[in-house]
Amino acid sequence: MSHATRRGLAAERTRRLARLFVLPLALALSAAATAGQSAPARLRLATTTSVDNSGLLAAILPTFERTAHVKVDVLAVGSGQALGLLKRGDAAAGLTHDPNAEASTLDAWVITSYRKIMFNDFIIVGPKEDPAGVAHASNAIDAMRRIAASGALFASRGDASGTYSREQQLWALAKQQPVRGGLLETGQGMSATLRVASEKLAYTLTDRATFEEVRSGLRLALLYEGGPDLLNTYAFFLRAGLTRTEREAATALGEWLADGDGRRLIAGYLAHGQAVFTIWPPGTPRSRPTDLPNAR
Amino acid sequence: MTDRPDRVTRTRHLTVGYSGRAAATIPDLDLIGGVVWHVTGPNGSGKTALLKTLAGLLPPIAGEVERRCGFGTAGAIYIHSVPYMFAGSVRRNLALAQPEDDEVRAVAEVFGLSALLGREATTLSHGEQRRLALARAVVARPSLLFIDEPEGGLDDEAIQAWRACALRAVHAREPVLMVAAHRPIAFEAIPVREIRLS
Amino acid sequence: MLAEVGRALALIVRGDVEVWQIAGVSFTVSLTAVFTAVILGLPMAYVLAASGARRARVGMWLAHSLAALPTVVIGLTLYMLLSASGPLGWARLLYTRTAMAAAQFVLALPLVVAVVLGALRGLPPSAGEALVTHGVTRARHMGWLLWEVKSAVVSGTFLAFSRAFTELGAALIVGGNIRGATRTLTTYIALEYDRGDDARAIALGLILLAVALVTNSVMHVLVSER
Repeated sequence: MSHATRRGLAAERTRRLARLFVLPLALALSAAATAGQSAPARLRLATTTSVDNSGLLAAILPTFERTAHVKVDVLAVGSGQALGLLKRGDAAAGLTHDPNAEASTLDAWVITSYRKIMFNDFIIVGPKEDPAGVAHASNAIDAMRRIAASGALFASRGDASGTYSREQQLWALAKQQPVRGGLLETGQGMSATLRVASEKLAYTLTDRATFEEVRSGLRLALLYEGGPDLLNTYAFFLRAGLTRTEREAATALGEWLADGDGRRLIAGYLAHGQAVFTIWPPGTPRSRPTDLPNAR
Repeated sequence: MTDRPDRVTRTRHLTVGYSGRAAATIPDLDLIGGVVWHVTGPNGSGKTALLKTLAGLLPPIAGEVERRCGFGTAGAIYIHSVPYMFAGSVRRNLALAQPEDDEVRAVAEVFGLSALLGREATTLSHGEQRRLALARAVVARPSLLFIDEPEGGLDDEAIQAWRACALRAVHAREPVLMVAAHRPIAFEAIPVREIRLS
Repeated sequence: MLAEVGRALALIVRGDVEVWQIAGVSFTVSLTAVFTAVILGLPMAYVLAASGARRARVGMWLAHSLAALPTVVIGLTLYMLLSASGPLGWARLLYTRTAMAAAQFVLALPLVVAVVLGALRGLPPSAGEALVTHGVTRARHMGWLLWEVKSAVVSGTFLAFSRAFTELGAALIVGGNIRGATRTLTTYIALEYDRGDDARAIALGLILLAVALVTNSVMHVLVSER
């Protein structure tokens, strides 16, 4: 399906939704009118625990809120749950890192204005002693194979997150899985899973940002990094069928992150002295989930 | 005065009361069997404190109590003016001091409780509860038996029944018997000695 | 929604392995915690009640305060003790069922003590004195008095079980929701509800609800019977 048709259908759907929502919209507008002009618009942003745990949003969003006069409420969940929040209309915009799940949500006309914002990479961390020899792996898939073969423990998110989605892809490519009992599925966010890995002397796959943010309290070492299999891309998008006020606020945030002042702040954000996100290189395609930065 | 050596109880310069506060000073006593010791006096004169002190439930404020037996079986037993009925049957209450089964049956017979053995003790009438309290004490063959206000709240018939039971208890087991009551009590065939508190 | 509930019931009835495994973990952990809390809590309540009015009052205050502790605070405290860098880290207990049972024990114990101690303090002094004067000593003395407050023992036990079984914060912090090991009814529902597996979350919710209702009903029947 071409982009033109897709956009056309999305617009049609938006119109249908708009008609459906005429009454609630009118109510909402009258409520907004009586609430007075000074109250800032509110925008619900569903994002992933990895972005939230990295401290990035807490550092940069206040600037946006001040200049755009919009209050952003951040819901930090797994990527899959974040997309689910948009699907159910519980959030207006999303910032996630699960290209596969994002692609199917785009295909279902749930989200729109999709843009890659930034990227970093996943890394494999584990006990300093490195019993599986992950540090000597030739690539990420080999690293996963070594963990599975050694019988070492692996702490897995086991949730609907972009990180778990990537872990599943890597196991599939490695054509191997840890032994029974070797997989610790936490069903929790990245920091909680890192903490489990640290306590249980297990390996885990993590985004670099969260690891940098919490590593000082953990007994984990960075054992493998680099390669295309571990690239971690973050995209921003809006829910289809937003009210006008919501759309304006969400679009403003998207512009600010993708092309505005937000870029500078993201690039300059350091967690414990380390840059954790790289902004999307200018001129590189960024509107499809499969797009990758040319850098590296 | 002499008595069986296992139950000799003497008091010397005794003051009784609660939590360090004196309620009564007691003339020196040498308690013997064969009589009913009747402690009398107005409300608040220390009757209960005296009985509990002699029974060993309350420490003396001053002076001393010389007693050669402990609690329960063959010892000292104190019966409250409102005896506590434990949950469960009359039979369970009678077994408080762990008597033999045939003793329980015998004492229930003597105290007219045979038909009530299976009843919940808390559902008994006031008079029946007093008889049960007396029976569960007597079945332990105490050497010293202290009964607090046994006739309060009982009608004449219940009082007669209680006195008959007490008499039988004294005859059968021969404890030293001390009763606190602010009204005079009388027993046929047993002399009563009065200790008056003021 | 109705279809989801239907699928949830099917999971329960057909004996879905994961549903019953998770329910099993919840039961094992909570029953262990409550059993230990009752075994230790009853003598504690008895000793406090027998140690004089002032100590009993202090004990009551302490038990009530501890019973009101937020579960996340208990979880956090245990986490800091049991973490590899904590004083008890050598035991490697963090993220185990033992750690969860310990947390729930801390929840359950003050409840058992508070309820039973309150009932023991409500007994007239003549109850304890009647036992003493009839020569009933030590262990039998405790047995007779606890039997007098047996409805409080029952309700304290069931209250403690309800609190332990339905608790989330501490179970999550010291258990870690590890699949097949420390995942319980509450941690599963809290964290997994949105994994496209709503039927399983609903099934577990139904089990949780059923257990809460059944324990409370059983308690009411036992307590109202004298």
